[in-house]
Amino acid sequence: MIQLRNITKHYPVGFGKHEILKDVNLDIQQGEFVSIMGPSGSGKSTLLHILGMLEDASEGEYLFQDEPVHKMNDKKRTQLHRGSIGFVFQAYHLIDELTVYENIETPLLYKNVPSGERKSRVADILDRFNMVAKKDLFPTQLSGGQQQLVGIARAIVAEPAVIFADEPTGNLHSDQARQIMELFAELNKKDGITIVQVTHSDVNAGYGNRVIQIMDGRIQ
Amino acid sequence: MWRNYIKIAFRNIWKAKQVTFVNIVGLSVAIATALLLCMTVYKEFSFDKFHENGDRIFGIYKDVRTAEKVTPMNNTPHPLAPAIRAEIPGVKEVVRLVRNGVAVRTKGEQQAINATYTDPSFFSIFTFPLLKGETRLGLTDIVLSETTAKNLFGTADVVGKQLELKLEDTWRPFTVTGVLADPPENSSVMFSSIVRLENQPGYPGNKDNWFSFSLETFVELQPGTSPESVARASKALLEKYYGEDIARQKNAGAAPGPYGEYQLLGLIPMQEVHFSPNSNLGGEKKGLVLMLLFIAGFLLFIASINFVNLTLARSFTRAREVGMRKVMGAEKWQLSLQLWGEAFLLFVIALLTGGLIAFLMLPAYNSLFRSGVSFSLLLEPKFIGGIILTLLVVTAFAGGYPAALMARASTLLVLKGKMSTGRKNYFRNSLIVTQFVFSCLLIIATLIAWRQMNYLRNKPLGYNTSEVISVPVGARENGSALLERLRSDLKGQPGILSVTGANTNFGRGLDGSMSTSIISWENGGKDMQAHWQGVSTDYVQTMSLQLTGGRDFSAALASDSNSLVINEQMARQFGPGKGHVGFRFRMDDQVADATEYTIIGIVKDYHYKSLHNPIEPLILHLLGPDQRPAYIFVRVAPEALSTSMDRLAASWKRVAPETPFIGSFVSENTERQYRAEATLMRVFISGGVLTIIISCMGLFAMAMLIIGQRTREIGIRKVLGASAAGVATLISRDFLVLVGIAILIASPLAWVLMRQWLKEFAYRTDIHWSIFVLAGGMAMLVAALTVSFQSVRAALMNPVKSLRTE
Repeated sequence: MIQLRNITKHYPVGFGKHEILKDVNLDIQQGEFVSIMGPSGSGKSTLLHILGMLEDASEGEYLFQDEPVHKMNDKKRTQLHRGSIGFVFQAYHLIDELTVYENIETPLLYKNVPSGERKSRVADILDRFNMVAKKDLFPTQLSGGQQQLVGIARAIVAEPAVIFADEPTGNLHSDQARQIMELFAELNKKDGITIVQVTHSDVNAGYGNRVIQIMDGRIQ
Repeated sequence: MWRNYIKIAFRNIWKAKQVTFVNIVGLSVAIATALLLCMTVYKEFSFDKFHENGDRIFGIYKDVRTAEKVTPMNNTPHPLAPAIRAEIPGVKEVVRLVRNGVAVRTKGEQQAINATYTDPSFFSIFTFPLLKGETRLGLTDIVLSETTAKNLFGTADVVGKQLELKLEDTWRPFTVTGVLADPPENSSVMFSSIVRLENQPGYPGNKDNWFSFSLETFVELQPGTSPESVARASKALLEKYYGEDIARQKNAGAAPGPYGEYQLLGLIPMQEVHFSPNSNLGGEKKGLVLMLLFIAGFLLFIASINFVNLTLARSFTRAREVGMRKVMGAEKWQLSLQLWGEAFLLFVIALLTGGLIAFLMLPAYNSLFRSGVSFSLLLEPKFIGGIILTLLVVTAFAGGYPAALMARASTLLVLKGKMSTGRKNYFRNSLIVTQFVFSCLLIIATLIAWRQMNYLRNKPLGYNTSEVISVPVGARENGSALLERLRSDLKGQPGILSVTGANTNFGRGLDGSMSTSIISWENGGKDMQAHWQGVSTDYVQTMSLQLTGGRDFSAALASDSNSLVINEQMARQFGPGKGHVGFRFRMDDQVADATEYTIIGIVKDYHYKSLHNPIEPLILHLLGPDQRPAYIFVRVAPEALSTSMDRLAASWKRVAPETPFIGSFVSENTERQYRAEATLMRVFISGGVLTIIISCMGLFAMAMLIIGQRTREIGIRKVLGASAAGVATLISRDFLVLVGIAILIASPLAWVLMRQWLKEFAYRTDIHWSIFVLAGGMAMLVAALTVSFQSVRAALMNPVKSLRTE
């Protein structure tokens, strides 16, 4: 599903350049639950951003579902963001001015899902996550764990093939973290969604079935 | 999707209540002002567009060339129009008109109305809809406007009714033949009643007189005739009737025009009459009107600047939402549309509020600026189109720019909140500078205009203005008889010092009219020109003119009828050895029995005209028995001025019971002649105040947002030991530097513009450097106060609290 070939990422610094990723080669199959681990500054977030098409690699090839991402235009990438890719962030990034229900609904609006189907899909998800009672609350009225639940609900409502999660439990205490990770595991097993997460925690990595260690921009 | 956008828009508005409030109030005020100003401008530019043959109607004036300049003569003599019609090809119709007050009597009841003396072609040339009857205009027919008909008879159904007009002291009967709709407000040709020109007092004497200029003349050309061809053809016509004048012009070394002419008729397209300095019906200052448009534009502009700046500053907090939407697959146009839509929503709210404000302010506005606009203008399709267009342009600029900026930015950057809204935002800063440039410009303009007005008011005019009462005689009374009655009635009354009359007023009296008459002749091979004013006896004494030699006109000396009093300028024009007391001359050397005039007095130059004009040669002559003073002047004792005014009014009531007393002190009249300047002052002041308020509202909100963004920095600085004053200064300084730059840009600009304005006055103040210091200080002070509200609050915040918020 995802193939990286000799991916390199560097930023210009003065007259030289600062290399963040060096010659990364990586294959991720459909249905895998991959954890990317490594110390701060090792390049794991950058790798995730490149996988999620939020950033371009400086060099190398990236095939997503056998299509070359490095040759795609903006429009095509937007299409992938709408349909095939879901994101979960450490800081949740919910839209504060929208209710829980509306936050979850938003990706479907961009995907032009008809109103009736939108309602039933959002209702299903709320039901599944036990959040029906909270659907009219605003994000600031929820606890961190609940906010991240909404974040995940929003990520999967458009039924993506893959979810990229950037330290999804970084802001949560351990109980909440466990709940979130169990949810990821369940989505992976039951729904067959490919999950790629960046994490510091060995416990969290344990929920996945593969760990990629990264150090100084290289996969170990 | 739309519901989602609208919901989010309203929640955003609600979340940022203060900023939104500033935005909407600022915009509403700007929109209200812009609406009012644009209505005025629209009205001014819509003048005379309703005539069906408007593109073929032209007002006529005459250009006379001398060696130095071309002098336009706005009025035309009686025989000109028939001659144009007979001798110039391509002219379909001509019409002459003159408007004057007249007494009217219906069933014994007397009133004063305005009569327009004109030709029957009036009705075919101009397009004024007929309501009743027909537009027949025989010698004893009269056509009324609807309002006049209702005033006189209580109904508009008056065809066939009789009324009497007092013409040259006799009541003459007229029959109403038709009623026209009232002329629209945007018509240069106004009328309340229309009679034949032949009824005009003095018509027989003027009928064939080419040298008395008193009428407005309009022509309607045949389709396909160009006004240039008519102007060119007028050369021969004028040479035929003004041959002597033209010969004299040639002798005096006048420079011929493009057709080799010394005199030529000028044609003013009907639609330009309103702004033409060459028509007595027009003369509206186009520059002033355009300035209103300019002010409307820049008020909207600075309010939009607020909007852009506040939206940009707030995009900092919106960045996360925008980023997240991008991650979810929103396209650029969708984001731009959403953000623009929010701007649009705010603008619509502001437009409605502004419309309401404008509606409520309309009466006050009309009385302040004498604009006479009505809200029905808003329904004109052109006006609505203009509003919609402005709305789209302004929202595109104010909402679209920040939207595009955010939509374009890299997703990752906006998600991390790294929008370029830092302190070094040149775009935002230059907008703030622009606002304050306008503010400073207007402050400086106001100060300079105010100084000039003060100068005009306080400059000694060379005659007594504060103790002389001027009373217009009006249409019903015989001026000379009235003057005599008044003189004998006031004789011996306490506080009344002397009484005289004249055919011209000083300044602009309560009758609203001003007049000038200029005489020119040849003396010893030299072209002479002078203002020619008829006065009654005791004029010099009453007005406290200062004699440098000779004496005043005296009632005791019968020979004074051919005597003249001149001013120093006139004496200078005569040249050495001539313009002295006792000098005799004739105005027409060729005619042996022409009147011989004797100079009996020379007065010091005084400002008988407004201070726009330098003092020109002036001749005062004694009004003869058949020439009647139109104004009576009464000099009263300096103590108890108002008692004397009452005494005069009481006496007036005794001697002229039918004419209302509309006396005023000459000082009030002279002030009234600076009406245009006074209006301009009000425009400057109102514009300046509004600009400053709106700019400061923007500054206030901007300071609030920036301090919000710098909360952490301020907290850290305080923890590290910064004093409250230090923090407040730190924040204010950034803004004050911008205001300082604005002052530096505005000052030279204002200097150039205002120097141009001052050139309109023959007598003017200088532009003192202290004005710039004062204006700069004011702008700085206002800005500092505005910012200090926020900066002091920030400085006094508990650092622990401000650090915790991050």
